[in-house]
Amino acid sequence: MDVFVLMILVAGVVYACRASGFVLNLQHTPAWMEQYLHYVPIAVFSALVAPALIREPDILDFKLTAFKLVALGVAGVFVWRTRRFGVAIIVGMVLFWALTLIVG
Amino acid sequence: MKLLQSPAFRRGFMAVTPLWVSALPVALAYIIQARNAGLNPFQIQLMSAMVYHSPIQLVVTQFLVDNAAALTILATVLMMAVHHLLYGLSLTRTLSFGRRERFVAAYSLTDAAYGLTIAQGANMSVPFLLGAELGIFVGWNGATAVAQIFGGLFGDLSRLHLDFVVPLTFFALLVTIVRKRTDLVVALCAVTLSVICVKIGLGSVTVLAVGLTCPLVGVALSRRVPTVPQPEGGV
Repeated sequence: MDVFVLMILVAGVVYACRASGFVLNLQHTPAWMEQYLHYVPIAVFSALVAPALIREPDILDFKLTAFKLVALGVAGVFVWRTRRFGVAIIVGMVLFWALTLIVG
Repeated sequence: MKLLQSPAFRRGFMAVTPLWVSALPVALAYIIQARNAGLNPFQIQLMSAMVYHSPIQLVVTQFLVDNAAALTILATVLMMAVHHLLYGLSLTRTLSFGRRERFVAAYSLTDAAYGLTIAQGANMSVPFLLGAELGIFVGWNGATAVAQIFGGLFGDLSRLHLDFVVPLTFFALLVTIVRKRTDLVVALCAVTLSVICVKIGLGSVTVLAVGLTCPLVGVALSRRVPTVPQPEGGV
């Protein structure tokens, strides 16, 4: 198959998935569905964090994993206390780099 | 034009700029793989604009290298992208979109744009979402272009572990939206299940599997434990 045609098909599938939630009309959702959708971002974000931390080969480096956990913890406390999301990311990254440079 | 001048749109755009640092190493990996698959610079850039989903682009180019069947490629892409359905449902529950806004918002809907918008709590809005989406679109397509032009100059970026900014971002988002005990239980279930999914080799289906099943735990717990409504906050 031609690469350009394949690219259009792939883009079409991705767009269909992205648009489907906007197109489905669920304005009058039952209470359980409201609750269900409330928990979707919590479940999805957790699923995006955990696998990234256990990915090989980084997980085999104990120090590196420990630095990541410390940086996550500090950034988490920072954003929890201040609600300043962007600064929390910078704090986490700078701390992680500092730990890898100084301790690692 | 009115949208571009909206403070919420600008806030959304600026909120995603920390993620730009993680786009470059991914873009470098993508162009190396795309070149191996025989794509020319125009096709490489076009895929970033049209598909606009870095993990899917990496998988598609790998499939091209392996000469995989088109049906296999499309089925895999479907499995990797279908969780966006939940994002759309979740967003339309709270925000009211115009017809055109729905289709524009759908085009560039990503995990990060959705997450940042949801984390705004009571302050979430359509302009914020569109600003965040544009910011990520600019970041990813800019990184693809920079990687194509200056790729050879960067050397090995893996030692900087720039990809750590992705879990860091989602963890910070998670902290902002976990407010009740049941939220925490759902998060812990999701972490456990996602680790199991990865260990048994589910790969890219992990997010979908966890996103579909773990909210059911929250629904079950909410019915058992009456909760006091919490005030909505924002990042």
